Amino acid sequence: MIRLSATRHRELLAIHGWSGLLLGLLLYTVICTGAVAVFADEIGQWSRPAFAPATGGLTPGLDPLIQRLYAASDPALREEVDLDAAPGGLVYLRVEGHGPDGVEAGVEYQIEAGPSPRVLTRTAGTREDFEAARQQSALADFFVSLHVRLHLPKPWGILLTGLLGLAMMLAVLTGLVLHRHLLAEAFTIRRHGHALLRRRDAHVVAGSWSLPFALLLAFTGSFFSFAGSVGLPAMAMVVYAGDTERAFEDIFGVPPASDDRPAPLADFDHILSDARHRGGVAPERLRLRHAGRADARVRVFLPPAGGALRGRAFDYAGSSGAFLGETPVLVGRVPSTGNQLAALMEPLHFGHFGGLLSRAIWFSLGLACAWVVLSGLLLWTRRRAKQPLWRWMHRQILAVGCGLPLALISVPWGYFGARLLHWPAQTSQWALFGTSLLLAWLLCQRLPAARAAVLLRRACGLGLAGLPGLRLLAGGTSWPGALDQGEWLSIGIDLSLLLVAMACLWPGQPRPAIQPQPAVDRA
Amino acid sequence: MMAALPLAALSLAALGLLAWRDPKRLRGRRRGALSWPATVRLALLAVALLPGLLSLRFGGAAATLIWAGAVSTGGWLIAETFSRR
Repeated sequence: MIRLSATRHRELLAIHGWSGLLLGLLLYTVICTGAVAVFADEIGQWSRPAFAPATGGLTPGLDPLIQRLYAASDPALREEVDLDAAPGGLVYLRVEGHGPDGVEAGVEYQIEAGPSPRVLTRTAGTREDFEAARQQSALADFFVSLHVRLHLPKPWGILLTGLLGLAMMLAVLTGLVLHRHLLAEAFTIRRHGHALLRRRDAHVVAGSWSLPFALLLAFTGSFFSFAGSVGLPAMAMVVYAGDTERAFEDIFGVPPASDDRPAPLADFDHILSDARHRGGVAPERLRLRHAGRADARVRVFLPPAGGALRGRAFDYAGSSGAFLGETPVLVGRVPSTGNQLAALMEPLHFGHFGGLLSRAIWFSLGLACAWVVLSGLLLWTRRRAKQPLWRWMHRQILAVGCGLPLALISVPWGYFGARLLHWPAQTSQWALFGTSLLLAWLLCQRLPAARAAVLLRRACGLGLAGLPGLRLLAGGTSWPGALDQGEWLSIGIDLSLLLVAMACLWPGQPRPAIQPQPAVDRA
Repeated sequence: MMAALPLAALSLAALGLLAWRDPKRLRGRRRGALSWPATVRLALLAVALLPGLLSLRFGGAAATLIWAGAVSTGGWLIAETFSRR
């Protein structure tokens, strides 16, 4: 128990409230989409047009296609070859180089993996062009991009989400100090108290239980935002006289150029098989640097396996495919504590180290954190509901709080609708997302808050209930078809959506209305 | 790693018992006399934490994180459930 003077308590409460309030709605958006993005791979698989067996990473069989596409690419723009396993059994192959203006550009192929891999799309340009062209994974990408950078241009979006992480950390730490009876009140929600007190208790109890993970998610999220956009460039300025590329090469252990004699590409299938054999799991990323030269080097990244938290990385000679050794996953060329700590950030933030089980738990932790933020915002504005400005603010928070879930549910409607009507998926997703948010906002301005909340909950229920059918209409795998191929994921997601839809449509007990009350000082 | 689930269930069972006879919760319902004595509460707390130590010792960091995440979410749901009774 932490003892505070009344003045210090008031100051901390103000910091706690304002740190949440100023960026709270954006924070709520980032947390909600983060919870959904935990299942990005599963969403990608579920939303694919026709069932393609999940490859579970990069599997052998791609080499002939990669060699052919590499040979056909512009010789001036093929210094690097990247392979990424993507949701829904897709593989992204990028062949890139530096153009005359120094800008990185090249070609990205979206490949349907499997026994006979085939190219689905080819996009020439920069990374931004590649992202815009990813129609197949547009649904999962929408949630991920909204979570990572709120769909804002680089680097502003990523800086803003980093700032949100810091605000969340501040709110968590001040909440920890403010809530003096953390253990004693872990189960105390006053049922018979005033409705405002009950909601205050519900906010505190949810915050107490999710506190360690909220801190963890906020810290790791901020790390991801600031490490690449601020930390490393700042280090490059100080230590490398502004040469960012050389700094990145040193930090990430990229081998320096040493032998520019022409050489063929190694056999990718051999490298992928060997990495899988050594690591016990299929690789998820491959990076080839100095492509087509004698000093070419391949690094293969494997996800965590066998109960480990961190993944592994192996180096190979890029021309012969010879195994060179295991390398730190992130930082430097030799094992270090810094690399171990940096490599922990990803599993701790994404929760993907234990398959569906850990993802499901991270999803529920994300929902708990979102609930804490929303209930805190509503509590703060309700306590000040005597003033018109706070009443107006309360409505806006309610509009986003209830409208965002509806808007997120409308995104797959946009995705599947676009597929039915042959529209661009990104545009259609944005159109429905924006329209739903606007409708929710209008409802919350026109109707009493409780009525608007019930209507929006039912709209969410209807939206969720229709998704399995819409997926089928848009060419998704049917349940019998999925059962035939032993694919349970789509059925599981469909059933989960229907269950949540039922919960949303279930008639609930009306909540007592809250009248404006004098401020409740306990925090 | 799957062993984390039964261990989390054991912890949640102990937390459920703690919540059922939690003194502060029962005092709010004017039934404080029914609450567990302090020794029982301590024992239940130890039972709730012990699976975490076991998962750290035998299951590794991944299993412990899964255990901790499941207990955090489950503990919150237990508190919400008992507040409605």
